[in-house]
Amino acid sequence: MSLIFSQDSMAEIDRLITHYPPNRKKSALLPVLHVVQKECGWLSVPVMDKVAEILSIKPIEVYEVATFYSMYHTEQVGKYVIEVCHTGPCMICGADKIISYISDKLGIKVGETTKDGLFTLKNCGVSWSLWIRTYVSDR
Amino acid sequence: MDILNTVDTIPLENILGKKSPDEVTEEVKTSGLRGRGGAGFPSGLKWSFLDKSTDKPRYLLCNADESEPGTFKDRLLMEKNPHLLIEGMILSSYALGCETAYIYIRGEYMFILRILEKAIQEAYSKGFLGKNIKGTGYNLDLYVHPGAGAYICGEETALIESLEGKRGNPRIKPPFPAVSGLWDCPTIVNNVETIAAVVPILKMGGAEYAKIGIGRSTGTKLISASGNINKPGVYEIVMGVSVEEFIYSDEYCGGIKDSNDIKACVPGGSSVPILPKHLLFKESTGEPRLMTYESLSEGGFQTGSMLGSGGFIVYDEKQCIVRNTWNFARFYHHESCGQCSPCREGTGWMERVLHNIEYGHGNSDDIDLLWDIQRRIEGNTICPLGDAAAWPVAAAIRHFRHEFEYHVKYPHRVMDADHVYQPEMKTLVN
Repeated sequence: MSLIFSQDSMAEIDRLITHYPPNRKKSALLPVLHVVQKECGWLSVPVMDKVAEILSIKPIEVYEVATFYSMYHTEQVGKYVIEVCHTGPCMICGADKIISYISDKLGIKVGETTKDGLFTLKNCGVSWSLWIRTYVSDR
Repeated sequence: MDILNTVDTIPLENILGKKSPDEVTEEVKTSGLRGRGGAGFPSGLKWSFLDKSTDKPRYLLCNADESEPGTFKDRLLMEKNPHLLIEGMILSSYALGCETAYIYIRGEYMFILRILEKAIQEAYSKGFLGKNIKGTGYNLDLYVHPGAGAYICGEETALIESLEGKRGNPRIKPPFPAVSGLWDCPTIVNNVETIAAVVPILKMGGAEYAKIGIGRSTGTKLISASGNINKPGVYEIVMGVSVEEFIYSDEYCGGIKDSNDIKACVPGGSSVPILPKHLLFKESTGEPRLMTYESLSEGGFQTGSMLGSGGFIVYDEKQCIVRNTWNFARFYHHESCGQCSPCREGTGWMERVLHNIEYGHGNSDDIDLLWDIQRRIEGNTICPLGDAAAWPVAAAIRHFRHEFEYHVKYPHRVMDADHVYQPEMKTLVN
């Protein structure tokens, strides 16, 4: 069965493609991956293949991008992804304590997902002085 | 001074069509505006490098990929005053002769992307964007493009690669983007704050703007202050405020938290050298150190640092410099794109050595080893990420070698992740 994205996602993808010259559809790859990840929760191979088909590019061109950027999940994650920044400015204000509190509360280590599939705890690789980010996917 | 925090702008009709694009560029040159993203390169001069000899379309890209640890100024500007950036984009695009422009925003700022898109929609519906803007015959389309969590995409050629839908691998220069950038067309990449500053420059005139600030550091600068201070936040300063005033005045940082003593400060984002207290408030000449490009870099890296992106991180006496250096090294290791061996291998090596020292497994040769690794990364990579990874390590060893030695000499005292800096450290090492 071939994969189909929702009408809303397709409409958004069509809008994004118009942002670039007609012969530069590939440029829409990053924004399009955000759209389909929001719908599907993560980027499985069939999802990435479908994106390649929509943008008329090779699947490998999607895989190499999806694995390069840390916001794309190429493995299944929880419904809510909690990311805590732990770079310098956050660390000196106690980010490590926040991470260990959440880790204890949920019973998972950084990089793991709770058994009920609800929460994934990650380190936010890049900075904000103190920030917890939650993605909500509509699965 | 609030010249970026204002809704008081300039009617576009007074510029578009009335002044020629070259006249607008001249105003920016006269203003002395320098790139606010970190390098501090004169913006008007950068614009003049744009290759106008081809028929290819030209592009203006706004770099809103702000990812440097400690820097969050553009976030506030875009969140609270998106129209200023849009107006700056229109005026800058007009000066450069671009009919399409993009704002490349980091993926983590997705909520700000929505704010910008809404503001852009408003601009279209009021005739500030699109075809024949305000009847002047000038056309401009403006789009927002999200990144997806890669620090390296703040480097202008990596940003272009990313906008083309590829991995963020920086390109070898030359050719510079001004000649061959986005889709091989002439391209200018400017930071959010730089583009926003074009609006007040045209409003008051380049010559008036140049009167704000000191010497070659003209205008105002957004500083994002964080760390152990009473009032973290983003402050717009007139360049020339002294570092001491910025940290201790109630108008800005409001002093050190819990009345502790200050130990060190990273004045321009995680990649610039850390300055110890004794070099922070005074230049090597004894003159007070000011918040300007020149004063902060006085004495080179021996006694100075850089204004950089304005990510001002303050450390109190209890912070462990080794732990902080390890933290930054971990960040650069994670963010290295992997193209150049010195950076790909060197950043990971530095992280491992620093981790060992920090957790009490270091030996006395490790400090010299670290120095050697950073020296072999700096200047040997395609893009400046290698330098950005090397500088904080070099500066930490240069100014705080005693803390590294303490870690090596008394491993049992530093095993605990919560260990604080002991004032007797210095005497124990000596």
